Parts: sequence; C-alpha cells; structure tokens
Amino acid sequence: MGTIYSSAQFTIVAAAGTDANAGLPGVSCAFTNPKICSVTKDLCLVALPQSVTQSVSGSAWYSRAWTLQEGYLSKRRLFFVEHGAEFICDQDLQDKGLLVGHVAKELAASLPSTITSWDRANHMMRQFTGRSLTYDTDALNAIVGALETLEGVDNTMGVVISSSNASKTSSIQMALSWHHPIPCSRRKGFPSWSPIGWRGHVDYLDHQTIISSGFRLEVWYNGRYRLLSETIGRLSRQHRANEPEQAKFLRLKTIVVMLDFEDLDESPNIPAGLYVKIPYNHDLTLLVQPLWDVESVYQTHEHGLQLACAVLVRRRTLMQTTWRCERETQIIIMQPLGTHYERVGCFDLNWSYRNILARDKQGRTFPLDFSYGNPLLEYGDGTFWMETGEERTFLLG
Amino acid sequence: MMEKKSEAQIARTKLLMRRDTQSVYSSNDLDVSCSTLCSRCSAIPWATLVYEPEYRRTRLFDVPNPAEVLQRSSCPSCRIFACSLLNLDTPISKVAYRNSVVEYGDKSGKSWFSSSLKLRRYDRGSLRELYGNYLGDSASLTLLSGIPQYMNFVEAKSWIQTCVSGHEHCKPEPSNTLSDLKVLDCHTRTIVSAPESCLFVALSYVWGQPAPHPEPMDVPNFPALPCVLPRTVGDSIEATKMLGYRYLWVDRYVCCPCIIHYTLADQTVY
Repeated sequence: MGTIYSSAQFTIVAAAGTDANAGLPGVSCAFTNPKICSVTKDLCLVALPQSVTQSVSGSAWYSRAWTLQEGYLSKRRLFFVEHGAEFICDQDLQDKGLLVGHVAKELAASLPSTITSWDRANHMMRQFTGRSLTYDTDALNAIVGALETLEGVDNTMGVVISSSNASKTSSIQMALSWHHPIPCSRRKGFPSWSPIGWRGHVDYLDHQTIISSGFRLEVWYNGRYRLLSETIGRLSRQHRANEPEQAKFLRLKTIVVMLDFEDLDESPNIPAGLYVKIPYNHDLTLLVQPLWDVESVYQTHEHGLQLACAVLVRRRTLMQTTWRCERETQIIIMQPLGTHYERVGCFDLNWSYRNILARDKQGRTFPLDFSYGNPLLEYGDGTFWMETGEERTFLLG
Repeated sequence: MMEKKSEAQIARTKLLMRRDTQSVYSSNDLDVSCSTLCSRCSAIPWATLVYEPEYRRTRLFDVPNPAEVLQRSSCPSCRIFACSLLNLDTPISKVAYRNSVVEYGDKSGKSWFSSSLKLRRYDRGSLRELYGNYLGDSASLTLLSGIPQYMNFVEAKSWIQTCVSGHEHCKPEPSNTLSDLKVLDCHTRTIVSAPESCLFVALSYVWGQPAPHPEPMDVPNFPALPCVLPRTVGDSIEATKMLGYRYLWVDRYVCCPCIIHYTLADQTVY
C-alpha cells in the first residue's frame, strides 16, 4: 500500500470534513468564505482563517492512523481544507527557511524532515500510536511502509533497531524504552514489547536500550532466534512475508528479579497507587510508582502481588562512576502467560525522573527529595536488590 | 490563537495602514453597508479607533452573559466576535482595542491580543495583504466581493509544475515496480490496469464510519465504477482531470480483487 503513495505524481489530501462525502472544497462546492463585515463606510472587521496547514493538523484526516503513512510517503501533497488548498512537496520540507512558520508544527511532525532516521522513527511511532485505527489487524501495515523508507535503521514489529559505529565497539540499540503515559489495553496479535501491541499513545524515554554485554537479545529470523547483530538490516523484510508466530517473541537473557508490589493509600505528600518495592539496602526500601501499560493490574491484584521484573538496560556511563546509582537501568514488569512473558509496565531508576518514596526500618514512609542532589548516595550503589535476582533466558511476547 | 504583538508586527501594521491610504482602489468599488450593526456594535467608535495612539486602550464592549448571545445575534459584527471569543478556553468579559489589535480581558484583569481578529480598511489592497497568505493573490479579490470562491486549478497546476520541473528530490518512485497496479481512468470512469510508466495521482482521505455491510450501489460492477460515488472521490476525479492527469488511485476501487475487498475487514476502510 505504502509504495503506491511514493509512486504517485502527487497525492490529493482530502482534509475537510470527517467522511468520504465531505468532498473537496473548492471543487464541487465553494471554499468557505472568511468572516468579514463592514463596521463603517470604509472599515471592516475580519476574522482571519487559520492557515491551511493548521486546519490540516486539526482535521479528521490527521487523526487517523493510516493517513500518517500516506502523507509521509507521498512526495507531493495537495491539501484541501474548508477554506483553501495548499501544495507541499518534499523539497519544501527540506527547505528549513520555508518551513518555519509556514507549515503548522503538528503537520510538519508527520512529514519527512531532516532529523535523523532514529529520531524520525520514534517520532513517527509516537504520532502513530496517538491516532485512531479502526481495525487492529492493520496496526503494523499502517506504519511499516513509512518506517521502511528510513535509511540506516531496521525494525521488527515497528520497534526500531539501529547500529552505530561511532564508538570503537559498534553498539546496537533497540527502541524498547517507551512507556504509556496513560494505561491502555492490549492489541491482540502483536507483541507486548512493541507500541503497536497496545491501543494507547506511547512516549519514549531519553535513552534507548543498548544491547550491551551481559544482556542478550535475540529475534526470530529465518528459522531460529539470532542475535540482533546477525539480523540487522534484514528484519523489516520479514514483515512482507507471512511471518511465523515465533517472530512475535524476543528471546532475552538477562537478570530477572521477583519484586513485591504494594498499594498505597493517599496521604500527605504521597500519591495513592500501586508501587513497586525495591529493597535498596539493609536499612532502606524504595517505593517507586511504575508506568503501567495495563489498567487491570490495579483491579486484579490488590494485595500480595509479586511480579517478575526484567532488567533491560544495563549501561553505565563512565562519567557516572562517582554517581553510584544505576542511572540507566530500565526495568520492565512482566506477567507470565503460558510459555512466555508479556510486559505490563516499566520503571527506571533514574532518580531525577519521578517521585520516589523510601521506607526505613521503622516502617516510616517518606518522599525522597532529589532537588538538592541524591540523598541515596550515602546508602551505597543501589544494586542490592539485584542480588536477589537470577539470570534467566526467557521469551517475551 | 492569542499572541503578544511584536514590534515587527506593529511596524508592519503601520506600513499597511499607510499603504492603504495610497491604494488605487476606492471603497466605492465595493457595495458596503453598515446599517445592520446592533446598538452594542454601532456604539463602538470604529472610525476613530485606528487613529488612537498605540498605548491607549479603547473599550469596545462588555461581553454579555452568556457569551453565546453574541453567536445568535443578527448583527454580523457580534457573530464575528463570537466565533473568536467562544473558541477560547478562558471566559472573556471585556473586549477592547489597543495597539491596532483587538484585546480580550477576563474578570481578573488579565488580557490577551487576538491573533485572528483585525480591523481593516475596506479596500482590496489591504485585504489582499491579509488573506494573500492563505488563499493566494487572485483568490482574495473575488472572495471579498462575496463571490463563491473555487479552486484555482491554473495556479495549482503551476505549483505542481514548478516542483516537477525543478525538484530532483521530489521525484516519485517509478510506478513500473508496482505489480498489477489498477487505477481509475478519470475520462472513462472505469477501473483499468495501469499502462506502462503510468503517471497517476493518489487520494488520501477518510472513509468515515465503516458500514457493517457495503451498500449494494457502493459495490463497483468491475470494471465500471458504482453510479454513485462518495463526494470526495467524485471531486478528486474532477480535480485530477483539471490538473492535467488521467489516472487516479483510490484504495476502495482499485485494490484487487475488488469484491473480496468488501468482505474483509480491510485496511482500506478507515
């Protein structure tokens, strides 16, 4: 489908109205006139219409998932809105001077630009997951055509993979560090580790999952699970074939820790919610509110909940050797589902990131204030809790 | 829709006003009548507003409660204020004029400039300046005289031509690589196999609510199109022809095989 739009001489974008009977303004019906009225013999009061691109950004066309790829892949676009029409080609989008203040911000974010493929892919997924899709089965097809055009990145199930040779040892990163600002429901038929496996808007964390030593990540390719480094560059092609069920799994080898969850009631300085308990050291337990993907954890398990948590990112920047916390650890919370796990939420231990509570030996719970540095530094490096974990190889579906 | 008025904008407005007085068009060109204003709007000292010094705030009127009253007013000026006011998140209680722009104030005394409402001399030169950005130069003239405004295909053709002849970067992928490409022939209104190196136009649109069962008249009797086409598709056929092209690709009619297309929960229905 996508290739059609990139082969078209231009694409007519019907951005007026909410259905196929709206027509193209200016063709079978007139453009709406801007509002104007005379107030004296030679003065008039006028209400300026929004720019065409601003109107496109607020249109039903812009709110649908499929149209993101259609607009993105087209090389030339003729937009029609209620009060006018405008032509935007890829050259216009390359030309920054023309773009600033000319194409509305929202629309510009959904069209090609000069940002890197990695950023573009993640922007695209962020946008895509915020749009509405009628049929769940379309979730991959509606975006993968656009992802495939990005140079230098690969993807599997809409999750972008790139390798950088910037440092001496080439590293591979995979865009697994996304979360749902608002919990949502699963989209059946797609894996939980991909944003398309969910019916909700995703956001990305600053850093991305680096496939580092001590952490093994394999994807299904050509008959077996293989390391990303062996398959990168060939994965997106798999989408076009009828991919086997195995392609929906990642095989991970990493530390898995069983962590307890606790429901906290609202009290001064403590927001209510389901917190994950992280034994920080012998004296202190941390309570962190995870970013849940699912709503149902709240309802099904009220007390005594324990879930498997996989340590996904294990990168420590050298500059942070004095900063003894695992700043770049991302943990995904999983639920077992037969032979595999599915992700249900995530949290990270980037202390500046969100509210963290601490509970001391006496059972007093209090919020930690990180505004004047890290009060946890005096308590050691914060990896105590991982000692209870074990290295496991498992499938994430 | 609110903005702080920048120095540059103020300068530009002044320039615009000066140019207005030199305009070759006189207001007599246009049939203007202001007898329809309500008592609230005719009490506004419109004629002197534009000559007020920039710092002076002139009160225009207090917004009635509820503000929707303005929307239902028979006075055209009220309705223009209404469409601007009612789009805001904050309830506005006062409307004033300062620095050549309309200014809104709420109960607490906060104020904002309106970016969409302007007071202008009723002549073509100044209004073309305002609307030119949005509708192209030629459009503003007919628009202001109240004549319904239609797409200027000659102008649109030139936009496309500029790109086709000058932008290497915008060249579409060759259509030969698409296997079994079907397109809509806009001249014969039939579905045809795309000829070699077919130059076609694509349509991107929203279908609306998917019908549980396609309506019979909606199903194409291949290769003919259904008698009744959704308006967006019909208009796109017109537009394609007007822009000098013959073939149009519309997912609903060209995905093969066409009939199966309707029985599946297909991606082409949004």
